[in-house]
Amino acid sequence: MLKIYLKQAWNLIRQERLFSLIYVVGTGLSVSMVMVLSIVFYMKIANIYPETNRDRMLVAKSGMIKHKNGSQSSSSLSESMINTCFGSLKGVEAVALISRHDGECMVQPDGDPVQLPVTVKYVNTVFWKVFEFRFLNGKPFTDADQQSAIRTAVIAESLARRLFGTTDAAGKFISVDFRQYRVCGVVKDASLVTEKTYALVWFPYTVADGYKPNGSWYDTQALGDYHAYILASKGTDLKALKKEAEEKAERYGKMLGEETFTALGQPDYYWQSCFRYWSNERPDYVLLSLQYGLIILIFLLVPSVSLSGMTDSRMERRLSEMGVRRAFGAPVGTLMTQIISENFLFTALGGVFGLIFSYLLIYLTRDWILQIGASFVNALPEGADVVFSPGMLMNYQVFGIALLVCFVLNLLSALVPAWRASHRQIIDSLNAK
Amino acid sequence: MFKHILKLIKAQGKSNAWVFMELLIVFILLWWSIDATLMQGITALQPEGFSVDNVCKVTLAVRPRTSASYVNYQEGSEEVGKNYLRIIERLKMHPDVGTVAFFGPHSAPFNYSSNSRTCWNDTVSAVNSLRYTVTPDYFRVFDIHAVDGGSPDLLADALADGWVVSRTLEEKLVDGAHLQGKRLAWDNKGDSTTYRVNGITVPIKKQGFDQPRPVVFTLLTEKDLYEADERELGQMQIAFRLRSGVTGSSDYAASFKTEMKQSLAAGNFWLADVQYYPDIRGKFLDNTMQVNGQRLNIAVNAFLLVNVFLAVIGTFWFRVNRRKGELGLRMAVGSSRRTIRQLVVGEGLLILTIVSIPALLLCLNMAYADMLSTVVMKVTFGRLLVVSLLTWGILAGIIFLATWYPSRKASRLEPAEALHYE
Repeated sequence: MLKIYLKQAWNLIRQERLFSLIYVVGTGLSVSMVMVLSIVFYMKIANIYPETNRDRMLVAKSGMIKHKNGSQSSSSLSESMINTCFGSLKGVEAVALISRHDGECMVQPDGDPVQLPVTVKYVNTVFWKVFEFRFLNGKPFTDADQQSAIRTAVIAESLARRLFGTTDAAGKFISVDFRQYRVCGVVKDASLVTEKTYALVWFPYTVADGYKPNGSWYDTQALGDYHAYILASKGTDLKALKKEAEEKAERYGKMLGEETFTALGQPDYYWQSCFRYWSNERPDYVLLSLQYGLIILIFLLVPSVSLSGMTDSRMERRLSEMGVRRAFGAPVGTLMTQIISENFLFTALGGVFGLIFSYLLIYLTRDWILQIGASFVNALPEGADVVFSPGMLMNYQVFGIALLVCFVLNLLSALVPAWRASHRQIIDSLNAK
Repeated sequence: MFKHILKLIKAQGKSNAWVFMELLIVFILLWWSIDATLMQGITALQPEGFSVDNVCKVTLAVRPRTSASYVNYQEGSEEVGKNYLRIIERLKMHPDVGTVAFFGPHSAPFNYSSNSRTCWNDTVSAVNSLRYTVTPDYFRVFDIHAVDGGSPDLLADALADGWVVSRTLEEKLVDGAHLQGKRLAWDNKGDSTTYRVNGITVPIKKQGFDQPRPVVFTLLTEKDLYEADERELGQMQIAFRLRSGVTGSSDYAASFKTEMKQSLAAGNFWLADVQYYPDIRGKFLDNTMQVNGQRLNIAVNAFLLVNVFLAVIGTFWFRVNRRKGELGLRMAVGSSRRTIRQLVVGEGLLILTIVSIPALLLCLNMAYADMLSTVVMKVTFGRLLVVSLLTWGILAGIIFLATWYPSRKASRLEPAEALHYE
């Protein structure tokens, strides 16, 4: 039966080309708007190389201290706070530290007067366990390197090729801001899409200028330079772990003596951490979900009203057909199913067009589109480009969302016309010719 | 004609309902977003209060302590500050350089770093203001004028023994009154140091796309330099304006850097970069939330308009097809092709006008519910009128485009053929 419906719909498309084109474009636009939004958030939240463990990760980036004179300071977290609160929790596999003192440094290539700007990050050894970078050569720096602040570095494949012409760079030396570092490993490049871990050079956090073991910001104990990425071991109940970690952080905050510390509800689930920009404010996740829900609703509703109008006028023309069918005993349900499934062919065509269009949009706007929803914009590092891998754009989750969007849009735009067309008086319908 | 179209619209009843609904939703969304865009536009057109044309920024770097060539100075030695001033002097000697200013790291335009403090008047009224620590030449380099039209030189002199504040601060602190000559303080304890306001600048923007904020300019003295350590000095900003007759550009800044690389080094300071300030401005503005927000706004508005276009063209296309008989009859009894065309287009525009009545009622409700931003200007009748007219105009344009093709099709019907349908 479905086959006949679709055949019929296909013939309708061919009969009324302009109308079908308008309809498909209208659907496509709506689908592409929703898909751009979905893909952006997919890239922010889903497991993407090298952040392939996002789904079992908790993130604590900042905290706030109330001083005894009533003033407040807020900043990133200190090493000791992170270790005390999250290090010993049951079910935690590793806690990666990333220093907020990342930024651009200059690399001095051998025998070349032109310096290269690179993005660097200061991280700890388990960073390499939490974020599964693919090592093409060599190994991560070791605990010993980290403890004795030995100048070692892991570099990205693209930088290795640029400096040495090969990825076999382990054991060679690079000069960053006129200091020599031994390269201990080469990893496959990460994209700027995963900006939290993106860099071209990763150093042990202990080699950073001004690093003091267990140092903290203005001796506040709890505030410091680090963001913690807590990896739960497989099979751990993330919700329970989050609750336990939150409680531990709050308890810790009350034991600091004269000052009180709060992590403002952190650690977050990974998706929540994408919305946490300010260190002294707890984002309102309910409000955020409502906002995005409203935006998606508008993206779907505005086109579906116009599509409904078009479906309705198309039905108007086929009223006599409906009349004949009903006169011969077709139940209302069958007719409605037919109209809605016929319409799905249109919507699906629009969906395909829309998905492709959304890829194009994302590619063209790659410089800024990932900043949607951000409250603070980071300029792209010099000379860096946001690269999308096919896996980020084409995967079953994205296709699944697209299909779902088509389904909803189809229902929104065909339900009312279908109901109207199949509930007319048979006499009127027959007379419509 | 008008009445006739009204009758037609009424007769079409249900098939117009969809167009009505679509227009109603879009009218409201568009109205709101045009208001936001308009406010952004007004902000962008407001003067920034200073000029960066022909200004270059000089960035110094400090050699790390671990470096082999690091020069050790005694704690508290004035040599470090002197080294810094030596570089400034050498910069001034360059034949192309007009004025050189240096200032605290938070005192430059077009960046996010800021230092704000509460500024008190008579321990009663206070306003949170940006604090710019600058040398007097700052006003000459950035060409900042006094609010009464006074030259940058006057402001530079005024800074010597007091404060210079921006007009925005004056407005916020003593609305309507004058601050010139009054004494202000950083806190509200009666016994604290007060500073005389010696000059008032035009409103100053910090980030280009924002509203002017209250600014207090305080003098950066030589003593401050000697007390600062190397790291702090390294974070200070240096900018210079080129002598009149010399035109700056990105290339100029680059060649200036190569030329001065050797001479602009003293002690542990060395020249890291020379940038042309308009480049910094351009890059900064290109990467702000506001600019990204505008792009998003434009994309969403375009999406709304395309949808209206599709809704109208879809409906009218069908209608013209369905009403071939009627249109043929009209032609047969003497309607010209033009009249037919006007009939179809007029119908579209009239529908929009009818819709705009309930839509505007809803929009005004939004305005009364304080859902419009009042950062740039208050919600006035004029603002609502301009926004409403713009919304109507844009939608009318889209509807005209969308009905144009169906109306052409209708007017090109051969009367005989069209009558055939009747």
